[in-house]
Amino acid sequence: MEEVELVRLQATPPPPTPSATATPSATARDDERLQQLVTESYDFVWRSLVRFGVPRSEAEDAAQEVFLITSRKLPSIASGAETAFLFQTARRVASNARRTIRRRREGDEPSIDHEDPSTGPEATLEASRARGMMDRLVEGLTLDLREVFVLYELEELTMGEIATMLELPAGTVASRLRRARAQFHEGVERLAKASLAKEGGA
Amino acid sequence: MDEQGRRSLGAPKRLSQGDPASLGTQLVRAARGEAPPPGASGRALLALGLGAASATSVLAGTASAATKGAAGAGGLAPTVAVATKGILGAGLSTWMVGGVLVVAATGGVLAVGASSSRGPASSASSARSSAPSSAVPRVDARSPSPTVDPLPVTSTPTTTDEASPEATPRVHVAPLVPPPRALTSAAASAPPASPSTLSIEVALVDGAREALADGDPARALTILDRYDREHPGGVLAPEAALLRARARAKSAPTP
Repeated sequence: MEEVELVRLQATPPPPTPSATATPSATARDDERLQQLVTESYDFVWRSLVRFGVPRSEAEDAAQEVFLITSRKLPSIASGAETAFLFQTARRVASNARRTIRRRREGDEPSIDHEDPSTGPEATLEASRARGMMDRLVEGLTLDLREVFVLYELEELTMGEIATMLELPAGTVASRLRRARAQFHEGVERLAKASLAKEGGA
Repeated sequence: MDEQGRRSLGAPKRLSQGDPASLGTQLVRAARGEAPPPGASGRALLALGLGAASATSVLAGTASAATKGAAGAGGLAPTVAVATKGILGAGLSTWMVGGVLVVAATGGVLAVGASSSRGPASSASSARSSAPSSAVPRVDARSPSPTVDPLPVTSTPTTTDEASPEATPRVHVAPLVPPPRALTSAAASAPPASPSTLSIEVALVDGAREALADGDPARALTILDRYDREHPGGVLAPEAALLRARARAKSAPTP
């Protein structure tokens, strides 16, 4: 039975908020901006978290954390810098999540399977397996290489966009991408060889 | 940037465009196609208190007469805004079916019918939070809140500050009066959408409408694709279809 309670709503001003000093119109603009960010960039944030080591089963909570942080900092985020902010924040949140997972493992608490499949309809066994392999390959890259690789190969940003987002010289982005791709290819070769050896041994 | 621009910067061909038979290409393609669970972005909007805000703006756009009528009962409009923004906008939208919003107001007391036992807190993410049942706080006071180091970029935030839960009044909604029969028969016969689902629908449709208003039909179509994926047969499906038609018309090349 649903809990029933009557509420008397009086025409009183809203309770104080963290942005209590902002004018109502500024707050409304912030809300609208934040809503647009969530609507347009949620998938990007979620994927970024996963690619920086947050288990899929925890990525939704982590994404909410990212947008919660964004909501607090929104007035200080320059227009046009939102995606960079979201990406960097996702990296930081993922870093914390990884530390938590390490502690959990050290404490012998049940660890989360990094390859747990998403619950979407596309999460077929094959796709899940491919993503698990990809997770391991991306995990093998250092964070500096990983962010360039992820943004270029998986999010398909341009080199210029990545350089702006990460505040790096274009040459650094290019060299990191080169190294990341080389390591990725090495990892793919190892996987392929391991797969062949497994088939041969079976 | 187009392909020509990409090449002019010496950018390498992306792995996803490589040999389809290559394992690396297949892995990259599989990773690129990954998406969050259905409804996740809507739940994030609700957790941020934005589903409610959106419901209010849609309300202004599609059922302003109903709201104005209710507001006439005695300065209710700001009250509605307060209630919907920080507390339970989903509840307000409960009666907004087929573009008609019904607000019951009696002598300064507002009651909103929650026609489903599934409130916002029953969503996956909200259930994991410490939010009180049936309340969606503007600031999610989840605990423990991970500490995040200051970011190195310019507009960069520090994120160590604790979420300060607002003094949001605890509100439960209940109908003072049963849903009026003025609701359309279609609404009466349709299965009741839960407040959380409806707010998410409203947020998405509203986002698509704003994108259209901004002259960005491609963005509107992206949002509508998400709507169709996450809310097949949703309450606002007719409005979504209308917006889609408008977006397509706007994005079609002119002869």
